[in-house]
Amino acid sequence: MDKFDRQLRLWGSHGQYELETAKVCVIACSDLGTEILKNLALPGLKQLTFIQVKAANDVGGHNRFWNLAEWNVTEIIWDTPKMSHQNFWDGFSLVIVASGKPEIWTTLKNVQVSRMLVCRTLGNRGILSFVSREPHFVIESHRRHKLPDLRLDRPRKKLTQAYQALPREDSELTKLPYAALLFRVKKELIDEKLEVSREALKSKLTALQNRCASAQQATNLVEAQRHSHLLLQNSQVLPENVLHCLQLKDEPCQVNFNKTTKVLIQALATYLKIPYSDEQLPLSGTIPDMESSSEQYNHLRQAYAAAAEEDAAVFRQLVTKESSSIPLDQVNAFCKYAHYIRAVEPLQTLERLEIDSKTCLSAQDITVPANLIAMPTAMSDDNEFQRTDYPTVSFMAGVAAQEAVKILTHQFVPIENLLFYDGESNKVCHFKL
Amino acid sequence: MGDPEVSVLVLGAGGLGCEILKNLALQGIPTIHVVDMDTIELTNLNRQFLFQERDIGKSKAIVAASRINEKQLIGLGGRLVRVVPHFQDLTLLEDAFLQHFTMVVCGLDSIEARRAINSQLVRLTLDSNFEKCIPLIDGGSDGLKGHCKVIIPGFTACFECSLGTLPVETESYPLCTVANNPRLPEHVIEYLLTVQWIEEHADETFDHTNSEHLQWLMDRSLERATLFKIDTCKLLSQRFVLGVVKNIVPSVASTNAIVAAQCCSEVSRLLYNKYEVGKSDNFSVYNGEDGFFAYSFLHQRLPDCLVCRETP
Repeated sequence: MDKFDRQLRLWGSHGQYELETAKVCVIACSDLGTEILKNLALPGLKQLTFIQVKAANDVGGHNRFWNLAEWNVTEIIWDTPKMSHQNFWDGFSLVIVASGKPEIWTTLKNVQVSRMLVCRTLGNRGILSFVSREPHFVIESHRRHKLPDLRLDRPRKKLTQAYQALPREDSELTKLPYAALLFRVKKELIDEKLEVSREALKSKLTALQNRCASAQQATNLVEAQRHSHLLLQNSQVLPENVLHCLQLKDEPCQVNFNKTTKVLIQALATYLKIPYSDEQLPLSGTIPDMESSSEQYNHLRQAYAAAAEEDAAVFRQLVTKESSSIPLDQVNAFCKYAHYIRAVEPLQTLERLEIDSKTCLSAQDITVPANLIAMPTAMSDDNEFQRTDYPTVSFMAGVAAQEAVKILTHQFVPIENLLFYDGESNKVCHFKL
Repeated sequence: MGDPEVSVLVLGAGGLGCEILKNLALQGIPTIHVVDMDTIELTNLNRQFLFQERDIGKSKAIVAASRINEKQLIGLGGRLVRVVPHFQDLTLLEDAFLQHFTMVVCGLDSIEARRAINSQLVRLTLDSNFEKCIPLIDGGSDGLKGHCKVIIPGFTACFECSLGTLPVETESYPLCTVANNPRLPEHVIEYLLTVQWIEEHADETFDHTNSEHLQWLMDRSLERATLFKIDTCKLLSQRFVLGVVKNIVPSVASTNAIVAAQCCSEVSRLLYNKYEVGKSDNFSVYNGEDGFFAYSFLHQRLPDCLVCRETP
């Protein structure tokens, strides 16, 4: 067993590879920085840089709890002249700003950093924001509840043939997957020139049930009743998240994954226009488990996999016309998860964060300490005060690391684009600025 | 100001436990006890930061306690923070032991263990005629999701009151599917474990930690999957097969940090009297898969709860 087994189950070895090769920099002066570094070192990030900001009255605090050497962290001290050069920042995949010192913010406003997370705490409040000039694309959003991708409303020829090849005898009825039953009743309605409505489907399925020899209700017929809505969907209507991605297909991108995904989205726009696609997204090729015999289920499973492979082949050809350097795995994943691709629009700049967050939060009736966003943490000598607020630091460091992992792997969907935490009530608010 | 006499019992020294212990120590709780009967495994190390590879096989509770104790942290009232480990089954704690604590924080992965400590603490309150009341804070994590519950035994909803909100534990497949019409790799594994293993090894129980047993399962899974023309690519991976056998829940450092921090923030609220019994939200859930979804609410007591209703 692998040390990372429990997280590979979330993002796979390709996600783990992205983490292990990412270069992340954390700018901080306090426990918040070390907690974030710990949460990044544990899942296996190997190239971590800690830029320490020495506060005037820095007492070292709790930092002695951690041993940064254990995590292979490169430690450097903030140095304004050196860090005002663009080339200092070029190598980082992500910069996490956990300090509000004005000179740091001034410096960062004058350089280009492809992606930043701004994370701040003050007392028991915390704020986290995703700042980047380009859209963040996600292919593997890991949507938990998916609609079965069966295209029963407009099946292509290959799928129609696969359905028609299934046995039609009444004795075989209970062996058929519900998709086949739905296909059959729809065809009957069309042949009889009747409207395909919920009621009509229901009565057709009941009629099928009556033809079954057994008096007991067959499980596959129950499933067919439950999924009859799949016949009423329109496979030519694109989901909101896909439309959103299409709208952003010409935005300039620097991050490699965003650049390649942008090409894939452009290819998708073309794909949807060619007659082959019938204005439908590429098939995912996976079907849900359906109560049926192994034989009939396999028949359908293979038909869908073959049809999806055909879509992917057509799509790959369009992609090759645009660019030949996109990894095949990424193209195939794009086809497989085309229904669930996502785009997140981060806050464009640190300036926008300073200005917009104040107006937004006050409009939501949330009082934000004036210096939460951009001012240095008020160092307090009152140890009791710091102690009660330690969980807030730990909470925000957990959220920052979680978002960093989502951003670096391009899996799951990061915050869009501001999160506010109130440790007093344990409440989190999430805004889009 | 916090009372230096407070003492907190932590149940579980795993992913959540390590975070909870670290937070409580840095919050300055001078007396902390930790109970866990597990030993450290390699797959713990992606999140259980108090342990290292050289600790594999040792008691989680003992190693966690010594890692914190060696930091010599100063807690409330200038007292040294001290963690006392108990390498034992947490469902067998004596009432006399529990009575010492100001509150209990759990970072467990088992529902049964939670139910056990919940009913024991509720009984303590009811038996003492509400003189003794030890709050229970329960954290849970699963992938990028988690929850935190605050239970004031005898006063607010107990763990048992909220059982109905738990998801169905494991998916089970109808025997007919598993035996006659397998379609998924999971169906194959279920058949082998529930039917074929007993046929072939009547006098032995299947043990996934035994490499011979696991190899038998991997080989037979492939055979049976091929027989039924099921896609075998998942069955070639030991990770997948073990995941099905053990019903493994994914686990990652950041989720544990988030949930443990919520639990410890509740500890602060209770210690500093900011918690309003019956008014403050006592139940919060979070999901980080798509943005950051968080929701807190007041879970009411169930009048007919078998554990916390006052009239028998």
